Amino acid sequence: MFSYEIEQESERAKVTFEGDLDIDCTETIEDELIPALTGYKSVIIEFGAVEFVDSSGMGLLLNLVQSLKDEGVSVYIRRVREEVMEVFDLLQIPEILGRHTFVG
Amino acid sequence: MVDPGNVKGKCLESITDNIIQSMAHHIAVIDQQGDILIVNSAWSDYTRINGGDPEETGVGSNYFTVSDRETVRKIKTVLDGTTDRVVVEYPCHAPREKRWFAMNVTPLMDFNRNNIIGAVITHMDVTDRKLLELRQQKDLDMAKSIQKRVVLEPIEQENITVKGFYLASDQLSGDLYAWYKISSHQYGVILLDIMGHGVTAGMMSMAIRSMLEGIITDEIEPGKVYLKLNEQFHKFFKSGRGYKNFFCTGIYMLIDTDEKSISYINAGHPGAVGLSGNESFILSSANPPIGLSKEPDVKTGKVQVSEKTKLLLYTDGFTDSMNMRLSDGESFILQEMHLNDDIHEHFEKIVSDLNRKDDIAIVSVSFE
Repeated sequence: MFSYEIEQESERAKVTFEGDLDIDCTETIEDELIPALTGYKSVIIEFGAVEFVDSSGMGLLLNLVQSLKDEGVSVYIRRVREEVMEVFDLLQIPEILGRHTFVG
Repeated sequence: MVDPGNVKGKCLESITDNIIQSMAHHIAVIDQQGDILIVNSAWSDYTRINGGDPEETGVGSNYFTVSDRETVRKIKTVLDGTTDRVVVEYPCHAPREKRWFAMNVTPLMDFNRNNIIGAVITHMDVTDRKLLELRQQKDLDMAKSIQKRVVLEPIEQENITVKGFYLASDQLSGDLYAWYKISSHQYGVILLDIMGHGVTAGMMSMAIRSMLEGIITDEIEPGKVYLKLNEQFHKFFKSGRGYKNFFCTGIYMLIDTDEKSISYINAGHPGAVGLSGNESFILSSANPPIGLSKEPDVKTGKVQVSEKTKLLLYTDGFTDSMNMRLSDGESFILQEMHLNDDIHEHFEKIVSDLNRKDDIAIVSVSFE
């Protein structure tokens, strides 16, 4: 079960993800999160509590980050677990989103 | 003197009875022994319409005597508190009409809500949903059989064997493999894993499948096959909401039995594991998945072999189902490849025994 929590601080937002990121998160990401985060200057996605991302979840994450970037929001993904990062690397997600998107 | 509490109690009792009577579902309340205490009019009407004897299922009769043993057993699990709720779907066909019902049993608590004094049994007509499910199942079965029909026959020649095997997590698979003889000594082998699974991935896999032969036999070289597939993805599949980041991972190999070489491209796919004599090698990913980058840099690889060579290509459903990280999966596969000369038979058995989470496909290649 996926859930998220947004903490806002003036023009910045921190969104903490928890659970598996997969096709069941489609409405949450596309209908809730993208509109909720558009408008901030920067967004940090805390990824440490995400243990599994399947291919659909990967597509959703790309959609989220790219949609926000298209709206001029700086996006950073923080604390990706080692096993999840292994899959990100295999799919060259850091190359696609920019290495600087991934922090500590 | 009139007791106001008593009046209120009677009033509530009357409202409760009216609610039960006005409900469209067939409702009966039984006690711990199965004796029917209350039925609503929908319950009585249903018995009458279907030629049943209302006496047998009316107030005062015993519900256990008209139910089969399994139903009674399930009802008793609610009455003794083992379960909070029991739902049983059952067919109840009339001579000219197919019908299904769902029996729902919930406990009836005493006034203080401490003890179970009986159960409320509700029968709902679920025919419309059941018919829809049956139609969907029929459609899926047909789609599944079409998907199976387009799976290619294995290549089994003196100097090369190529075989595939897949299991879908849902009815349809998003994993796809194919192979084509390009010349007397060249074979193109491809394995793709379409994003997601189920109906959408299955449909996409069929659309891609229809392009593969043309692309592989025209383009032949791994880099060109990748670019062409990438181009087709952008052209056909990337419009519309939700498809912006549609992609597939894959590995394509061009095997030359004269040159004894494997030229390959891996696009975000788990590394294929190879064993040539005692030398092992991994055909690792160096490219983004197909469909994610409009103008990707293409990085291909080539392995020269000298002895009998075995290769296993697989989708990540294989390692995920074993709860293995990708790197651990490669070590596991290599270790298993040493155990049986017939790697196809060996891995087909391993995959078949797995508790699958995702689609799984494997392709095995052996050549001299």
